[in-house]
Amino acid sequence: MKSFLIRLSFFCIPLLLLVVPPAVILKLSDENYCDIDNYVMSSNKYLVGFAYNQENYRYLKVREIQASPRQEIMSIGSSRVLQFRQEMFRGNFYNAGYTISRITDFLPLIQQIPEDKIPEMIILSFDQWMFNENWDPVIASSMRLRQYNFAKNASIKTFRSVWKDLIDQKYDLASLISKKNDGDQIQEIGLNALVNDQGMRSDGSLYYGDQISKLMRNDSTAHDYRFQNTYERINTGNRLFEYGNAVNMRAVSELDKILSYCDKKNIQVVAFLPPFADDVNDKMDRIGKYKYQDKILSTIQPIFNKHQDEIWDMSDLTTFGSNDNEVIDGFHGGEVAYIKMLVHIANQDSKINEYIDVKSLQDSIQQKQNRYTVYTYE
Amino acid sequence: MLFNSLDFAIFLPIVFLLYWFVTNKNLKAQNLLIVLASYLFYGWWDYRFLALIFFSTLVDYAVSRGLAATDEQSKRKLLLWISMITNLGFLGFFKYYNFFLENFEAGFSLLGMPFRADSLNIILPVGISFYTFQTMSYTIDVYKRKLEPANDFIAFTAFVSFFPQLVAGPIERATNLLPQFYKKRTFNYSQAVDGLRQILWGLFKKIVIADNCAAYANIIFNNSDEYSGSTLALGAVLFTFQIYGDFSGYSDIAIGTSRLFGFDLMRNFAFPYFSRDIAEFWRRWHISLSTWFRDYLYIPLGGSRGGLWMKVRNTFIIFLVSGFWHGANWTFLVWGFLNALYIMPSILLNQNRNNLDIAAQGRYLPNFKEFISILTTFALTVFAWIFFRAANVSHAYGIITSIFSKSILNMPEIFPKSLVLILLVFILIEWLGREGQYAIANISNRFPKVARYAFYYSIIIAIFWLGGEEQAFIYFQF
Repeated sequence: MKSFLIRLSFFCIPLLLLVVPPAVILKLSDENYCDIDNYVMSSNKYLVGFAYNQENYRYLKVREIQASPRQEIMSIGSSRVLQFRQEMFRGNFYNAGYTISRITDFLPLIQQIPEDKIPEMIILSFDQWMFNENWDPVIASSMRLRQYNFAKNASIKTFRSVWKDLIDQKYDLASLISKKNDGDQIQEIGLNALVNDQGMRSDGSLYYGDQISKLMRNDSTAHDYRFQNTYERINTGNRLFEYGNAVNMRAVSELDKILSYCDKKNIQVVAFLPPFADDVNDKMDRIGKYKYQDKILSTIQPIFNKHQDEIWDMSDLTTFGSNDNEVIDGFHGGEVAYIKMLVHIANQDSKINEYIDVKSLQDSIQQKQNRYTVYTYE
Repeated sequence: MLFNSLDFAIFLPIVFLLYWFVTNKNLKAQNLLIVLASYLFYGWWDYRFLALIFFSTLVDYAVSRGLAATDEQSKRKLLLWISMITNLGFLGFFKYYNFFLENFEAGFSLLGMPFRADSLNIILPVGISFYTFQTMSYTIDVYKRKLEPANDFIAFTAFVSFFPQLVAGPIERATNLLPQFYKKRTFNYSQAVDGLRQILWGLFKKIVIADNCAAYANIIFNNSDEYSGSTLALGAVLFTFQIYGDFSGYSDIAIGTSRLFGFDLMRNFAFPYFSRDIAEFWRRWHISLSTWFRDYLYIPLGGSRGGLWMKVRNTFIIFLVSGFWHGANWTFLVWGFLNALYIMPSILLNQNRNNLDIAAQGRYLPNFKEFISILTTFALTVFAWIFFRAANVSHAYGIITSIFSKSILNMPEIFPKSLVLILLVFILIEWLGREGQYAIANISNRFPKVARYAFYYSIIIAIFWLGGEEQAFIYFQF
C-alpha cells in the first residue's frame, strides 16, 4: 500500500504543476470557487467581471432579481441594453441585460421573476438579428434549455484557458495579488474585473473599463477599433450579421407570446431596436444584404399596438442626436448615447416619462465624464 | 457527484485513505464507510432521494428475510410481489407517470372522449432505473433460491448503494457483488494500478471523446432544420461516438474505482462498435442490462424454448422493454423496435451466435468480409441512435428524410477536422486493445515502463488540452 501511494504521489507531481497555478489564479480572483450569493446579498458595491464563466452572469442577474427588493423598472436584453444605469431612472432600477441571446430567451427569463418582484415597466431591447430569418430558427424554448445555474467549480476548459492566457502574458499572479489588495471600496470579482477593469455593476449595468480608456487615447488595441471587427462580420455575413431579406415570422410569433405574458402580469413594455454605429449602418446599406432590417418595424409594430406597448426603432443613432464618437464599438452605444436615446423617446410622449426626469438627464450629459460615460462608479 | 468533477477528485482519495487506513481492520466498518460514502455521493446531487434508496433497500432486505423464513409458496409469491410492486411502482411513478398520462389523454381524445389530467412536475431521481433493477434481481434470485438472503443489513445496504455503480451501473447481479461485501478485502497493488488505468481511460473517453462529440452533435441535432443530409449524418455518427464514450467511459471509471476498493464489477462494454452483426453488438453493448433482460425477462418468458414464434415474440418484448427502460418517450420504443428488427434475420436463420469470438482475433487487420460486416453493423447502429437522440419521432423522421435526400452529397456545413482526427486515433487505440478488458488494459505487457508512463501522461495531457465542455453523463437521465 505504501509503495502504491508513494509511486502514485510521484506520478501526480507533474500533474500538480498543470493544475495548481490556474486553480490559485481562479480562486484568488474569485473567477471560480467563490460564493456569488454572498456578493448578491451584501449591500456593498461590486464589479463582477468573469473572463471564463460568462454563463454565470445569467445566474447573477436572476439571483439579483429574486433576492433584491422589487424593482419598479427593469431592462432586459443582450449586451446592447447594458448601458442603462440606476442613475438614469426615478424608481428602483435593475439592468438584467446580457441574459438574452435569442428571442426565445426572453420569456423564460421574465418567468423567473417572482410574483412579488414583478416590475411596473420593462425596457426590452430586441437585437435586429433576432428577426433575421437566416439567423435563428427560433426553436421552442424547451429545445434550448436555459439554465440559471452558477458554475462554481472550474472546468478543464477553464484551466486550459488560464494556461493559454498565462503563456500569452495577459496577466500574472503578482499583479493580480496587488490588484486584489488595492483597498478599493468596490469589490472586484472575476479576472475580467481585476485585469481589464470590466464587469457588471451592482445595478446590473456594464462598466467597460479598459475599453473606454483605450478608445479615449485612440489605442488601436481597443476592441473593434474603428469597427474593423464589425466590418469583417458584415463582409463575411456571419457572427450575428448574417444576410437576410425577410423577417422571421416565428420570431414575431414569439414576440407576441412575450408581450401577452407581460400583459397578463400587468407589466408595461417599452421596447426598442438598439443602435448601430453610423458607419456600420452605412456599410450595411451599401452592401444591400440586410433587407430584413428595413421590414422589422412595420412587421412588429402591429403586435405592439395590439398589446398597447411601445416599440422604438433606434437603429440609427443620428435619430436621437448621437454619433460614432459616442459608441463603444460597431453595435454598442455608450452611456451618453443611451441617455440621448431615452430623452428622445421621452420627448415622443412615451410611457417611460413616468420613470425618468428628462431635465436631469439632459443636465447629466452636460456633466459627463467623457464622451462615453456620464456617471461615476469606476 | 459527477466522476468528472473536482468534487469527486477530492472525495475519492479521502474515502480511499479512510477505507484502507482507518477501517481496514474491520469488515463491518469498511462496509459502513462504503454506505456513508455512497449516501454522501448520491446526496450531493439531491439528498431528498436518499430516502427512496433507503426505503427500497429496507423493503428488499425485509422481503428476502421473509423469503428465508418461509417455504410456503403462496407467501413467497406474495413477498416477491411486494418487492416488485414497490420497485416498479417507484420507477413507474417517477419515470413514466407523465408519459402515460399524456398518451392516455391523446388516446382518449382520438376516441372522442377528451379528458384533462394535470401532469406532475416530477424530478427523475438519478440512477433509479439502475438500482431498482439491481435490487429486483437480488429478490428474484433469493426467491428462486439461487442466492442465500443477506443477513447483514449494512453489507446489503452497501451492495444496493455502492457509489461507483449506483447511478449508471454496471447493474450488478447480487450473486457477483453481494458476496464480495462479506469477505475481507485486502489491498492488491496490481488491482489498484489496473483500476487507476481504467479510470484514466474512462476519463479520456468521457472528457475527450464524448464531450467533444456532444458539442457538435448537440448543435446539429438541435438545429437539424438548418443542415444538409451530410451534416446530419455526421451528427448521427458523432452522437454514436458520444454515447459510447460517455457510457462506456462511465463504466470504466466505475469498474476502475471499485478495483481501488478491492471489488470486481462485471464488464459492461466489450468494444461493441467492432461487432460483425447486431447479435454480437448486443453481447458487447451495456452487457449488464442485456444480460439482466436475458436472465429476468427473456428466459422467464420462455426464451427460445417454445419454437420460432416464441423466440421472435420474446425478442421483440425484450427490445421494446429495453427501449422503454431508457426513457419515457416513443423515440426509445422505436429505437428498441428497430434493434429487434435488425436482429431478426440472425434469429430466423439461427445465426445469432455466429460471432462469439473477437473480430480479427490475433491479427492486426480484419479480412474484407469482417471489415464489411463491422461497417454494416456500425451503420445500422448509427441509424438507430438517431431515434435515441432525437427530441421526438417526427424530429427523427425529419433528420432521416434529410439524410436520404440529395443533400447527403453536399459538403457538410460543419466538419470538425481536429475532432475527426482525435476519433481516428481513438478508434486505432480501441482496435489495438480490443482483446483486453478495456483498450489500454494490456499496455503493461506490451510496452516498457518509460513508454507506458509517456503514454499515461499523453492521455492526461490530452484530457487537459483536448477536453470538451463539461457535460453530464447521458445515462444519468435513465
